[in-house]
Amino acid sequence: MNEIDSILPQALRRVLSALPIHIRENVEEIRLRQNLPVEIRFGQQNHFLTEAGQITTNFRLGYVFREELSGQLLNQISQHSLYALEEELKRGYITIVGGHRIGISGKVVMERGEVKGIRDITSFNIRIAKEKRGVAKPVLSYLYERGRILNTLIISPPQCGKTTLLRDMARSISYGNECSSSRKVAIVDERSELAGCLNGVPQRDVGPRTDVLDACPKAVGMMMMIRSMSPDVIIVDEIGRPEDSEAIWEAIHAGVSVICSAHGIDLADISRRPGLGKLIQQGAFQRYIVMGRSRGVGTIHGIYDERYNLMQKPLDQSRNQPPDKPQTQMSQKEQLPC
Amino acid sequence: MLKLIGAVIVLLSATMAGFYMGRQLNQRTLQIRGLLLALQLLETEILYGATPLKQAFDKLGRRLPPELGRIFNTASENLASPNGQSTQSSIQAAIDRHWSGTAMKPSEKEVLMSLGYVLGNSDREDQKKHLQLAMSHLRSLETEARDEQGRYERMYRSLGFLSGLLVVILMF
Amino acid sequence: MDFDLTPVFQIAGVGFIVAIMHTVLKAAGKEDVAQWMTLVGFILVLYMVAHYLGDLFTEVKRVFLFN
Repeated sequence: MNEIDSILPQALRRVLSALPIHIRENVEEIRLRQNLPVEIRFGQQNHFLTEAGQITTNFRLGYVFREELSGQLLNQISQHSLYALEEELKRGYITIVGGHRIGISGKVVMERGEVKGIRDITSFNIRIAKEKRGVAKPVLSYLYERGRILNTLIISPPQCGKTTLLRDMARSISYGNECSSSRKVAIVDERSELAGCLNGVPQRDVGPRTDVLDACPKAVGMMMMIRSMSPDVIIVDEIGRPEDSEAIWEAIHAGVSVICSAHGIDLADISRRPGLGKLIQQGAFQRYIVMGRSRGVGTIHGIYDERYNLMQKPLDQSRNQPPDKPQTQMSQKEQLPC
Repeated sequence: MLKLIGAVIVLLSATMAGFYMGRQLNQRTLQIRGLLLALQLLETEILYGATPLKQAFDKLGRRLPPELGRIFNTASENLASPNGQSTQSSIQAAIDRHWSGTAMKPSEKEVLMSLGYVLGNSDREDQKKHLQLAMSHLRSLETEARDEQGRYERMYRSLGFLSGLLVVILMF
Repeated sequence: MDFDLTPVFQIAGVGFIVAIMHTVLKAAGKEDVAQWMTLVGFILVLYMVAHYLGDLFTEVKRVFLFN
């Protein structure tokens, strides 16, 4: 929260500091829209904020985010230098110290059919980054085989914590864990989500032996990393484009393991996708981790081996069974590879 | 005797005043040139380094002679202050505060002030345009200043001495 | 007869200096200032002369009217 506080305008800081501590500590998002009340999100709920620092559902009582505050906020975020944020404005979000992200919207400026940047920024969505250490712990033992890291695909719908899982995997591999000693990790972070880089410096803890290529297109970045950094494992987020598959094959043939994630509900769903399906059929991956949110963010629904056999039932055995059970053949086959 | 000493003092101070005026002209040219250099550096920082204004100003403050450096140092401090001062007012306050320490004229101040309105609040290309505009402005002011210096520097010196002499004669 | 030449020299000096100033200003291209300068010098001298003339008249008055 301190990093966030330092960029907020004083007036807003005062209102936020009046929040009850249990809310203040659990704020996930602060949404600011010009001339509209301030909205905060905590514990999956959205509320408006009154001037006295209370939460309310009635937006008429909300503390209004005035135009001058929006100007001040923008000045603080950009350190009075919008030109330094050109790339960020093109992408629509800004990473600040601590790995927190600020999504922005406003009037888009186009040039030759491409988004050149955003002018007259009126909406901010401050997403507060929280470190969740240890989420990768239950899956780590499935990632190794005879000391080698297996090529792994994480499948999950959006907002289910796959980036968090990937980050924790990178961290665990880089630090070393109970299954293996530490390895060289390369992260190609196209959307600056994994490492949350600011000026090239990771703001999240991704481990001591991790190299991060920030804001680089995945396919190109993977090749660069293979050539230049000789990693043991490459970690990328959200693959799916045709050129990504090519790069993944390139990496596998170069003897570098790949851990990546893709949007999808389950194995069957993802095998139907054109680029990825081919990759899976060709046997690029040895492990598949399917995630969901049946029992909160970050539920692991199953881990499958290269023949799509279920190795591990849902880790969090919940009363309500996951609605999206994989439809592929799954014979129960227990083995501990580590 | 006392009268003589007084006369010498009057003569000396008038001469010095004349020399000072001449030097101001000389300084003005030098400072405009310094300012041009500063804007060029700033342009490089913005265009190729995308350095935030604060750091860029810090660099400028260190590299420039103290009369000019002070402006940028103060601007950098103002920018870093957490009380939500706008970019424009941070820069303009710094200029206002240290302008009297320079030998430059209001026309140069005008150029810097107008730059203060736009610095930092647009993309690189736009910033470049504004900086180029300010620089071309300053360049024309520099030629003007140099011209003025060539013509008036010696005039001020002799005028200072002569006016001192005049006062002395009138007092006798 | 004691005759004080100081005023004469003073006036001559002022005239001389004003003349030089005029030249300097004209050389620097400030004709208008040079004109004003000369005018000021002239008024100065005139004032001094008037002053001395005033002295002269009081002296004449004193000599001829004996009061």
